[in-house]
Amino acid sequence: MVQVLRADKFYTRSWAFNERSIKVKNTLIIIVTAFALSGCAGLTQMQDTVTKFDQGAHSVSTAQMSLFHQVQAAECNRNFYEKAFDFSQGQQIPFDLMEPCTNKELTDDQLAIRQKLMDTITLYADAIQTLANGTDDTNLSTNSKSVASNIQNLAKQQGFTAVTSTDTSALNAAVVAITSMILDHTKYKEIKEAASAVQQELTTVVAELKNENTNDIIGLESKKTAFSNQLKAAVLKSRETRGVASFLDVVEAHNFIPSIFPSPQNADQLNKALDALVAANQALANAKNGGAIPEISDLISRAQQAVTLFNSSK
Amino acid sequence: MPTPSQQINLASAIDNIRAAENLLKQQINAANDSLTAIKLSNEFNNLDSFLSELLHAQNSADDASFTNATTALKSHASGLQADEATIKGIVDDVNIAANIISYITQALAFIAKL
Repeated sequence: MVQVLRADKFYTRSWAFNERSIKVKNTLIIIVTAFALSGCAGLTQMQDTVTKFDQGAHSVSTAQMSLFHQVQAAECNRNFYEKAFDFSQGQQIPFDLMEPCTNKELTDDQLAIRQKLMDTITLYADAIQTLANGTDDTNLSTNSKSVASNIQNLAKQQGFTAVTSTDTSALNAAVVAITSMILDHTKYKEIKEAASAVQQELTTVVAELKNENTNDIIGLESKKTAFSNQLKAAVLKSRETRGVASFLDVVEAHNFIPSIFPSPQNADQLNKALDALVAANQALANAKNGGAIPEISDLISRAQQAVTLFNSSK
Repeated sequence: MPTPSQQINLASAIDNIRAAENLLKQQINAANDSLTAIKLSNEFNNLDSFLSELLHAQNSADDASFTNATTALKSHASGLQADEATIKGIVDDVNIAANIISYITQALAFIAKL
């Protein structure tokens, strides 16, 4: 009997222990699940944020390349209309309406180098994106790695030239640092760590792009002025010969100028988009669970506006 | 590639040519007959071509292209001196003409240092 009683007690205690154990296990499962779910939500938000950062960087790149091409086109237009003006005055010069253009102020080689500077930024954004994607997609494509490697080699040979020559070595060092991060991005465990590592270098590259844009716009304004001088001479002649009918020529001349020279406001907008890119990266460097949304939204908005401006002025 | 002192000389020459262009532009805006406007525009274009060469030199990415660019600049300097005399004959206002010529002379002095 005693043995039975003891056995009962034993079973009772054992059952109670098992019940407590199950309760503890269930509680642990709930806690672990809750943590896992919150982690998943944070990762998803960060992935979304970084995807938008990548899109913003690519949009800025598109707008930047549009400006470069418009700068080249403006130089070609200027050269053509200069000859056309001489021709219209009766000068005996060779004048070909379909003359091919060779750029001197922004040559194709220089444009290719500027493209590489922009590629440095987009490849960096792509590398950050692959980090955010986690284990499924941690590596950049072979092509992207090859491009990054070529850019790095160019920078190591001081192939990038700053507007101010004293800034050239810092610019090349910045490109080397960013491309190193791109080629070796998997060593970073977190987005914020990777973003923080290149913030200073990204600022240097963006500052140089902005300097080039400002310089280009000064050059474009100079060409626009030269062109408007010739139109002024033409409308004066038109007034002398046609009287009030020359008003129609004035209207046409006035409307024609912006169609061949991009507005300085476009470059201003582009420079603001570049600033937004740096601010967005800074926000990523400080972000927790994707908390860089205001800066990323600003980047997307400014970059899209810049792209729209350049598309509308084509 | 231009050295820092060459960069400064180039930038100073560019500033002076642009200042001369600004004054010429004012004269073109004020012109009331097509012949004067054409003559001034032609002078402006000559300055602008020279400005393009200066910018080309400034953007040179290597020593060889910089040497070529500065050689071209120096060979065209005599043309700029001829423009000084022409501008003096076109611009009615003696003081403005003197200012334009002064800017061109200063630009030539910076180019001579390259």
